[in-house]
Amino acid sequence: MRRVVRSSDQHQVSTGHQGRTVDQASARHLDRNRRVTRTADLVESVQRLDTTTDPAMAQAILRWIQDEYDSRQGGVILGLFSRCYLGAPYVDHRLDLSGGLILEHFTGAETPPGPFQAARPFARSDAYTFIEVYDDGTVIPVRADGRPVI
Amino acid sequence: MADSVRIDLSPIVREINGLANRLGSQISDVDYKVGAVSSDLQSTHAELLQLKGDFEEFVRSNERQRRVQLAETRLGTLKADLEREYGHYGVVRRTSVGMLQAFDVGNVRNKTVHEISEELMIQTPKYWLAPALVALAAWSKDDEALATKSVEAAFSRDPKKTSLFFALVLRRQARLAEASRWLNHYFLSLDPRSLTREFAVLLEATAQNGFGPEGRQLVLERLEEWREILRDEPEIVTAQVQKWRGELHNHRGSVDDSNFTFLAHGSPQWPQVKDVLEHASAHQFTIDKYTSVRDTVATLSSSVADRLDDLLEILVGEFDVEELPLRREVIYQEAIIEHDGDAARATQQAELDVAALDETIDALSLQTHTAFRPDLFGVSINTQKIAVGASAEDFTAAVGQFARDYRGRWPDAVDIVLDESHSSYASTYGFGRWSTSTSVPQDQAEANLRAHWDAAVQRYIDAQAFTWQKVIPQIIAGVAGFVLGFLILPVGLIISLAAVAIVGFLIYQKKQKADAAVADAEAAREKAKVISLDAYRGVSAEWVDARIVYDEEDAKEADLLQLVEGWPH
Repeated sequence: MRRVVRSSDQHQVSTGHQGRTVDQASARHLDRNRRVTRTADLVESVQRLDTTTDPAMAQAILRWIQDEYDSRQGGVILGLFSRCYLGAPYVDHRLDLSGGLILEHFTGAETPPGPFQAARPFARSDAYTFIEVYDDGTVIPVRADGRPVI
Repeated sequence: MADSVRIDLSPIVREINGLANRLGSQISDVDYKVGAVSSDLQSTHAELLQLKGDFEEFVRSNERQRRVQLAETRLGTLKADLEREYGHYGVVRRTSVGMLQAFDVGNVRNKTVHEISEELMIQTPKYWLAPALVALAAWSKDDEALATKSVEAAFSRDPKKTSLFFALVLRRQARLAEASRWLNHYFLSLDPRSLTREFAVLLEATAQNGFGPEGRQLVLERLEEWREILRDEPEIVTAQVQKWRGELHNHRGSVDDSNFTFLAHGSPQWPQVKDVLEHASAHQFTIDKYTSVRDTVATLSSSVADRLDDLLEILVGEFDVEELPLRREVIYQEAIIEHDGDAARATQQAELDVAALDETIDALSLQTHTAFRPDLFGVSINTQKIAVGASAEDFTAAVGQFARDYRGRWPDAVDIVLDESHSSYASTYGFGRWSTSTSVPQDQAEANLRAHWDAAVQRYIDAQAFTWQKVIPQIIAGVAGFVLGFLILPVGLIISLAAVAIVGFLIYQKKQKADAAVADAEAAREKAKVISLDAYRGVSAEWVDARIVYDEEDAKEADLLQLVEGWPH
C-alpha cells in the first residue's frame, strides 16, 4: 500500500484503473475532501445553468464547474443532477461532467441513465439544491448552503 | 263386435296434467331456494372475510398486551432481584453521605461513627466503599495508621472509584490541594478508549462546577485532548453518528391504517408509503424532546457541600459493575412497556440504550449517551445539555443521513389496484383486477374503470344469457320422450304430450332465470360503477393527503437542524 501518492496517481487509484484495491489512505482523503462544504460560487453556478439560454455561456459555466471539482480532488465525478425549472414536461436534468459537458433534460416518464437514477428522488425534494454522482456509485445531495449530506 | 272400445282417458290426462303442474311448481320452488342459498353464501363469504380480518387484528393486539404484561411481571422480578442481591449496598451508600453530614454538624461521637464503619466493613465484603468509610472514621479520630491501611484496602478493591471518592470528599472538606492530587491521580489511570462508567461523575461535576475553577480547568483540558485523539478515528466518529441515527429512529411515530383506509387497501405500495411517513415524523418528536431539554432550567443548589453530596451519591450509587447485567435486562423490559408491546421497536430502542451499560465505554460514546438518556448514568439535565452541544456535529450529520435515506424511498406515484374484494358487486359479477397509477389523470382512469366494468358485466351477461345451446339435453330428452310415446299408442300419445309439456316448462323456467339474471346485472351495472369509482376516488384523495402529510413532516428537518445548530453553549 503506497503511503505517498501524487495527485494524478490518486485519481487513477480512486477510479480503479489500476487493479481492484483502493488505497486506504486515499479513500479517507477522498472522504474528507467530499465532506468540505461546497463554495457558494459553485452552488450559484449550478443554479445559474438552468436559466442560461446562451449555449456558449452554458459551456463556459460547465467547464468552470468541472475545474472546481477536479481541483477539489474528491474523486471522479460523473455529473450533477438537479430539478429542472424549465417547466412541464421536464422534471429534472443532468449535467454530464465526465468529459462530454452535456446538459440533458428528462421528463417524468423517461428514466435517466444508470447511476443518475438513484439521484431522482433527491432531486424532487426541496431540501437539496443539486446532487453529485460519482463514478464509484456514491450519490451525494448538496444543500442550498453548500453542505453535503454524506 | 262392431262397437269400438272407448276408454275414457280423461282422468288419466287430468292426473298427468296435475302431475306436470305440481312438478313444475316444485322445480321452481327448488330453484328459488337454490337462488336464496347462493345469495346467502355470498353474504356469508363477505361476513367471513370481515370476521377473519377482525380476528387477526384481535390476535395481534392480544399478543401485544401479553408482551406488556409479561414485561411488567419480569420488571417486578428484576427489581426485586436487584434489591435482594445489592440492596445491602444501599446502607453503605447512605452511611457515606450521612457520615460526612454528621461531621459537618458535629453531633455524632467518633466512637459511633467508627463502630458503624467497622460493622459495615464486616457486613459488605469486597465492596470498595466500606474500607473508605473506615478511613473517613479514622481520619476524624486522627488515627493515621488506620486511615492509611483502610485507604490502601479501598484502593486495592477499586482504584478509580476510590480516587474519585476521596477527590470529592477532600474538596468537600476544603482540602483543595489534596483533592487536586487525587483528581490528577484518577486522570492518569484513565484510557479514553475504554473508560469505566463512573467518569460520568466528572461530566456532572463540570456541569455543576463541583471541582472549583482549577479542577474544572483540568477536566476540560483533558476532555479536549481526548476529543482530539478520538475524533481522528473515523470509526469512532461514525459510531457516534450511528448512535444519533438510532436516537432519531427511535423517535418515529406510528401511522394508523384506519386514517388511510382506502389507500391501505387500494395500493400495493402502502407499506412503503407508511414506512417513509413514519420516518419523516421522527423530526417533530425529536424537536419536542430536545426543545424541552434545552428549555428546562435545572437550578443548582447554592451550597457547594450540597452539590458535592449529590455527586457523591451518584458516584457511590450508580456504577457498581455487578449490577449491570440485571440493569440491562431492566432496560429491555421497560422498552417493551413503553412501546406498548411492539417488540420490534422496543428491541431497537433497548439496543441503543443498553450500550450505555457496557462495563467500559469510550469518552465520546459516554458523552453521546448522556445526551440521550442521562438517567442511565445518574447525571442531571445540565450534563445532558452540555453533551448535546458537544455532539452538534454528529447530530447534524445523523439528521442529514436519516433524511436522505427516507427521501430516497418516497415514491413519486403509487399504483391503485381494485380487485374482487373491494365491493360485493365486484365479486358477484366477475370484476377481476383493475389497476392504474396515481400519475394517470383522473378522467382517463375513471373512463378506463367504467370500460372495465362494462366489459365485466358483458361477460357476465354472455355467460348467463339464455341460448338454445344450453337446453339441448332437455330438448333431446323431450324429443326422445315424444318419439317413445308414439311407439306405445295410444297411451304413448299422452306420455309424449306430457314429455313435451314438461320439457317446454323446464326450458321456459331456465329462460326466465337467465333473463332475471341479465336484468339484475343491468340494474346493478350503474350501482357497481358508482361504488368502484368511489373506491378509486378515495384512494386518490388519500394519496394526496399522504403527500401533504409527508411534505409537512419532511420540512421539519430544517427546524431540527436549526435547533441543533442554535444550541446554547
